[in-house]
Amino acid sequence: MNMRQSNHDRRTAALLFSLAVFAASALPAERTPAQQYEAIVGEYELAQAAFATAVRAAKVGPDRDKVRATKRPDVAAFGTRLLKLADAHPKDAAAVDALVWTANHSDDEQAHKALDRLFADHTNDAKIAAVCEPLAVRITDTTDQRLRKLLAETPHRAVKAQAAFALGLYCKNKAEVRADLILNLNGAEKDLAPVDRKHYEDVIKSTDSVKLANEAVKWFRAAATDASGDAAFAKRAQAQVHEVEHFCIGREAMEITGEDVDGRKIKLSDFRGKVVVLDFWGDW
Amino acid sequence: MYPSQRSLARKLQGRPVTFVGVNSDGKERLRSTLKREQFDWPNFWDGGDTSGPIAQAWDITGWPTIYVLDHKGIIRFKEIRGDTLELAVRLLVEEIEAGKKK
Repeated sequence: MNMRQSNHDRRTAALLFSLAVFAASALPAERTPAQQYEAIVGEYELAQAAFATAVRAAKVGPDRDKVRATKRPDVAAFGTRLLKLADAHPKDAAAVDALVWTANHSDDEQAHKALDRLFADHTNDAKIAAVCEPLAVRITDTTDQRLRKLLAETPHRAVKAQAAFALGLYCKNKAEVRADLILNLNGAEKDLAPVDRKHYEDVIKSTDSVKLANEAVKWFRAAATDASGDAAFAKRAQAQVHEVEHFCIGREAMEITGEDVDGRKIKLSDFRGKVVVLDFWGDW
Repeated sequence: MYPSQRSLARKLQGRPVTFVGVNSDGKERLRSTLKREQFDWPNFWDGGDTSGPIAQAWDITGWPTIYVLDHKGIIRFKEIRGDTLELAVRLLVEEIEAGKKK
């Protein structure tokens, strides 16, 4: 190594050192809660992108499974930082962003912590709308209550529409999950431990598919009405009204009138009184 | 699919249950399938293709599609086949039979 090079290295090291000092002292103190939120979420997105790249780079099979199982970013670690950020700046708009992110990305325990705070302190904030749909899919004991509270408290019509839509999804999913539970309990999970069986039987007994399906129709109609300003969302709600009204478990099947292959008239309602396996089929 | 439908229909013969088909084939083809497979339950002929009026009214996008209706015409199960379909039908038939005993 000659003298010149070594001088150069020293200068570079000094420059890097002063930059690091500057970064460590000046930057964090000046960062707003919003910037901190962006930084954490940005870091998560980079980690997620790196994970996707690593998965693609690994050979399909055990190698790739191993990468998938071990290299996934730790969502809970990001959730912890965001919950901390929301705690430190509870009145800042970034707190809502941080809580929404955690509610939608993190594990159940953290998500419920975030949801507790959102629904206690931020039902006036329009951004809470983003948790409605993911919340509906989760089907927990608190989902229904939370969404109804939001519906009652939000001053924003668009949020009302989102909350009603989510309540519709919740009722529809619950009606259909009930049917799955019945089949599982009598079929694949016949040998379930008595305590679990009791739990599922209670769920089946305490829910009514007909009521749930009717409620789902009502919620989607309300969502379509309140979504008047957002054509795309109103259309989604309308599509759900149609789907739930006619095809949700718990609804009466639409009448079919037609003819058989020999021109004899048939109606679906001719078979009332019997169980009907309605089979759309063809010989392909 | 065909043998399992037929065997389920046979197993439940005499009990309050029926298959009702909505078929997307041409008339000649449907006629020969019904005969060959000995399907003796009612089948709507839906105009000869998969976008017939009944399939359209029911928003059918995947074939086959199955709905199981109870004796009041309420949709109780959907998108099930094989053993699960048989189980679903049995549960609903038992509901009717239990109701009659009361």
